[in-house]
Amino acid sequence: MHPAPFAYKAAHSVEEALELLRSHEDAKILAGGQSLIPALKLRLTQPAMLIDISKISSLRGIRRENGKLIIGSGTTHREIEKSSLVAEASPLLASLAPQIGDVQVRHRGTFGGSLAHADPAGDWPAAALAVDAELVIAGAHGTRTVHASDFFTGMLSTVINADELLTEIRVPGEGTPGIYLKHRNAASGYATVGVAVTATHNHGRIGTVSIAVTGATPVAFRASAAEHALTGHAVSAHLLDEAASHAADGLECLSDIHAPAAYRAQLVKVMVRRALGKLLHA
Amino acid sequence: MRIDGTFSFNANREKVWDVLLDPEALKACIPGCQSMTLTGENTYVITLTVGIAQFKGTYDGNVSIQDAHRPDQYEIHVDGKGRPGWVRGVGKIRLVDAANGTTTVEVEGDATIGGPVFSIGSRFVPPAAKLLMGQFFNAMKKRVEGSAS
Amino acid sequence: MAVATPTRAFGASIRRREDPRLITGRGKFTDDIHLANAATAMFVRSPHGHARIVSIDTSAASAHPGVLGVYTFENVKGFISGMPCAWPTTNTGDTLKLATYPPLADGKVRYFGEAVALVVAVDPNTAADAVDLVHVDYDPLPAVINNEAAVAPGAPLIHDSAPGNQAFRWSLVGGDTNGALAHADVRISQTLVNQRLIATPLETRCAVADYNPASGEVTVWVTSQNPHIHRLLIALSTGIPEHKIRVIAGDVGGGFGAKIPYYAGEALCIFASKELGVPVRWSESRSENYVATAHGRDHIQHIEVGATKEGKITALKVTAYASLGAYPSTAAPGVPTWLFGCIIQGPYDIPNNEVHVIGVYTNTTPTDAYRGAGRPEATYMLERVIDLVAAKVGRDPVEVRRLNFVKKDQFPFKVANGTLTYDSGDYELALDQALHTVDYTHLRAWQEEQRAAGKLVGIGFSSYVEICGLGPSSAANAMGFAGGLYDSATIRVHPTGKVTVFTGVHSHGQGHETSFAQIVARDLGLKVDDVDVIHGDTDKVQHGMGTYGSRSAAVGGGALHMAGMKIRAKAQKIAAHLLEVAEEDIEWVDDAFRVKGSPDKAKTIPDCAFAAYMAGNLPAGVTPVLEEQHWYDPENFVFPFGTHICVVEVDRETGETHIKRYVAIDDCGEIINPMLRDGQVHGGIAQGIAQALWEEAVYDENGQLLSGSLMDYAIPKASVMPHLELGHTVTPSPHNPLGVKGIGEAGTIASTPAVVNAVMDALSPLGIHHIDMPLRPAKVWAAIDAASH
Repeated sequence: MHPAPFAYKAAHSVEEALELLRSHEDAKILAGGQSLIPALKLRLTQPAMLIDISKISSLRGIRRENGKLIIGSGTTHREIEKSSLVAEASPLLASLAPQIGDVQVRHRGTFGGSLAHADPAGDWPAAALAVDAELVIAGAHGTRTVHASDFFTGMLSTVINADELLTEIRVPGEGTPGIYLKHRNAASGYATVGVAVTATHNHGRIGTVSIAVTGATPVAFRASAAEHALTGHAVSAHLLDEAASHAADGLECLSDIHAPAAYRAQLVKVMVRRALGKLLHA
Repeated sequence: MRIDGTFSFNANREKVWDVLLDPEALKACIPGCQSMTLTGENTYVITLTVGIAQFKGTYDGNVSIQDAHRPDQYEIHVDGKGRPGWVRGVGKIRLVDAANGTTTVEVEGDATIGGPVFSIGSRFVPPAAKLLMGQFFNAMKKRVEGSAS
Repeated sequence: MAVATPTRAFGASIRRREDPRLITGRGKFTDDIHLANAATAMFVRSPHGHARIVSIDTSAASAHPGVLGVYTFENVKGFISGMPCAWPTTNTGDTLKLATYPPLADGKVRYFGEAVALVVAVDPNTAADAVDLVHVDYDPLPAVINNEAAVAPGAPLIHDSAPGNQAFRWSLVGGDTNGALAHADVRISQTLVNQRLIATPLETRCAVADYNPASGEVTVWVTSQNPHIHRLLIALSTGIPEHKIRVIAGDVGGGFGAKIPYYAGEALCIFASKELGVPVRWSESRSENYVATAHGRDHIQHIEVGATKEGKITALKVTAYASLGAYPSTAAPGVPTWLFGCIIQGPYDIPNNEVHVIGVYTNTTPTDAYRGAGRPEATYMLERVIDLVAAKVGRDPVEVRRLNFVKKDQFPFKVANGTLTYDSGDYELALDQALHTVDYTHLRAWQEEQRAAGKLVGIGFSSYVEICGLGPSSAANAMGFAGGLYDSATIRVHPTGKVTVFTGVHSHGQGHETSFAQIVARDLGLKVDDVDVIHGDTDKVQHGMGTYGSRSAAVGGGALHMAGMKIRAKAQKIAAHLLEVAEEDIEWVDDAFRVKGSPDKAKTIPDCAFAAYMAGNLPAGVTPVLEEQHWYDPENFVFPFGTHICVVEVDRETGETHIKRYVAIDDCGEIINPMLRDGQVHGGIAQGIAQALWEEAVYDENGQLLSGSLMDYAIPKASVMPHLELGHTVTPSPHNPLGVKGIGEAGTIASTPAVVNAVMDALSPLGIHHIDMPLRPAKVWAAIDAASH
């Protein structure tokens, strides 16, 4: 468990981190290290250099601005879990954070790190998709903002270029009811399937609803058909049953020693139904 | 491990065949191909640096094309090893006429994979294999259709 | 923190005295041994389950700066050519095919992760870099993983010396099983898989060897449950004289059986230290531990049962295919044979039973003892059988257990195959206490209500008896074990009356430093804190056989008590002399020798010790100092027992099992420390539940270990454990000096079938009667899904 040799440099500002990324080939960002360090120790990844961004204070913190929740990419899962601001502004995020790993992992691992790593069994990608988060990416020519729906490009892959850095994530902060349900892999604690759902309803009628699923497929996705089947309709158990029963239609689910594809598809349906039930009381 | 896929090419079978089996095209389109040297008829020694995101490894191996019947079908045999592990596999590739002069390429792959990476990260391997196959054929598709125009 | 240390120490819940050291990072584990100039050893391991080695090119690694040596089998075979097997047993006409277990692969690799080359370098980073520079060319061969497929015609041959991949065929027969089967009212056939497990101690294995070329002495620090056995096996396998070898197993972070064996990694550290003239250390990573340290269980069992229509079992026939893995590990052949087959009828009076065990080689990591070792495989089988019989005859599984139990007036009870005589027991007492705890009548009524509401809820039972306190040496020898199973104690009372105890058993989580001090404190009338317990160093401690098979309290504790009685006998002479009365005029009361009728006239052990060391005023014939030693060889095994009850709810839509209640009533005879006993039961149940629900070493058909890390091998976490309701009955062992029976494995043995039986009870309305472990949600859901179509 000894990594291949690499250089290490701690950046103290976003500019410095970007400069290091530009001036070093094969450099890799180190944030909380919860995925990267094990991979390094197993020599599954052998970058020439690690740029440690954990000391950049501007990347850390949670604030509300113009009705949006602004979360620095270096904010830990634990900080989100413990934030009263998050609890008030984004019940979905507040529901998800305590379900990540264990307390030690949550103290180390970061929001931005999890999103940028884009593990198919990661939790945050589902929430980012469900709340349609905006991800702010800094590069040589300033920043660009990408919607979550455009951010994930495949398993372990995002639109972040090699010379760019995810700096903050903006999510709606109006307190939309939301919930994250997770079926934990008994070994890793990662999501076999995780379902992030937000929904509003008014006088028995569903307003907006968003459903995002992680763990089931190589990359997290929005269950758009199920969302359309619900939006604007009167809440009923039958409606939720019907919508959830199609949530896995057409999916090519992952398969592993713990959960064959058919089981993942079953979990998607069951968990979407249960999440909707909890939010819409039906 | 089964790796199957279907890819459509906007060209006739002969044209697709010639590109798919062109050593230059192979070299250009095999993901992470560092070097590829002909060592015998339809047999190559190859070095790849391949993986997903930062999980990359370098593999040395042999690739051979066997049982080739232009423009219908061929087999591609792969045998490689590197620090992360080893792979042996056979892909059966069939070229089928489709509508409007296009060609459908059907791939039936059967690969055996092993070594440390598989023991620790087996959950990533099947989707990664599928992804790499997609990258290969999409690159080929660009090449076929690019040169067709 | 103030801890009460009552004078009457035996039976008190005293906190573990080793914990302040261990939980503040002040323990001294093998990996904490840092010697000047120590080099690091690492291994190049096979990426194939079965392959011929075409060539090994070590040149690049050897040339790498900082590399001290790179070795293959050819280089090391002069030092050690094979790992010894200490339990080469068979009992049928078939010869035991004990394949050679080379320390490094000899021309062929036979399992994924097998060591192929040894790299020694100045530091770990350099060694890891050099491992990547060793180029091995393999010619892959077909592998065989499944135990039955391994002995089927045409299977890939793993060892030329073991045709058909069969290591042995072993049998025990009691009564007339075939006759009883023919006349049975009901018959059941069932196949059960007892899956392969990985022990996963918190501390992986580690060894540090320091060979002194001037004296020819070697000191080996090693993660061992039995340092004297390690010393013996090192001597036998390397030719280093035994008296020149010092083995030290200091703090060891869990063993569970996997640290019984003597491994190549340990031997090769000695080789490299001797070769290079510097100390050499090797420390496993977790993923390395998962391939290089012995696995456990791995049976396929075919069972035939005959019973009366009331559910009285008249015949039981078991044919088990047990995997040794690719090579025979230290104790491996004994585990699926004697430790499994002797106890095949468990707590039940089954007059006709047969067990046949086929030991097979497969392309997998070698197996060896794993917590319970053989007895969980028997208990799981039997407890599933009881429930299957109950279902077949339509009776409550409690009543079927009661009907079949050995009754309390039948002890001592000789089992049908004649190998064991159960010492004492009252199986119905433990069952009744468990039923009382759960309020069984109401529990079944509740279950009916839940079922009516569409819920899948189940109640599972497990009654067990285990063979512990291994064991009489005569029995061990008769079973083919190449060693005695006595144990030893030295009690050294210092001049001030403080005591150092040397025990031949080993503590790696059991808490002997506390419980053994309690035994001595009671026997010598001292405070627990006045007694220190030393173990694990062959230069300090007299010969002993180590810890496994729940033997420490029964055998090591027995030896300690006997040594304590020797101290008392000598001290009594001194006390009488000092009190100027005849020896028979004093008696031991509470914590001192007191003059009969004048209890205020007393001498304590410290008083006697001081006199013994002053030595000028001793009675005639009494030698100076106060130190005694005893080797205790038990006359029989001890047989703990109990009943566990598990209540579960299975989520119909996801297949998840939720444990709603867990009750464990165990009888381990006398209890030295209730808190430690509870701790052993807690940990044991956690491991047993884990086998039922989560743990499984999974190989693919090529011999790749797919559950190669904690990302895929599911050990139980504290957060998923249910609340455990513990209780006990006390049926002392009539022959053990302390009346104790052992508790280290009970939880593991009992809990697995309790959980599986509960899940099967929950699923029984769907017509599901058996699913093989682990009961992963996906598997359970698939069964539910299939049953509803």
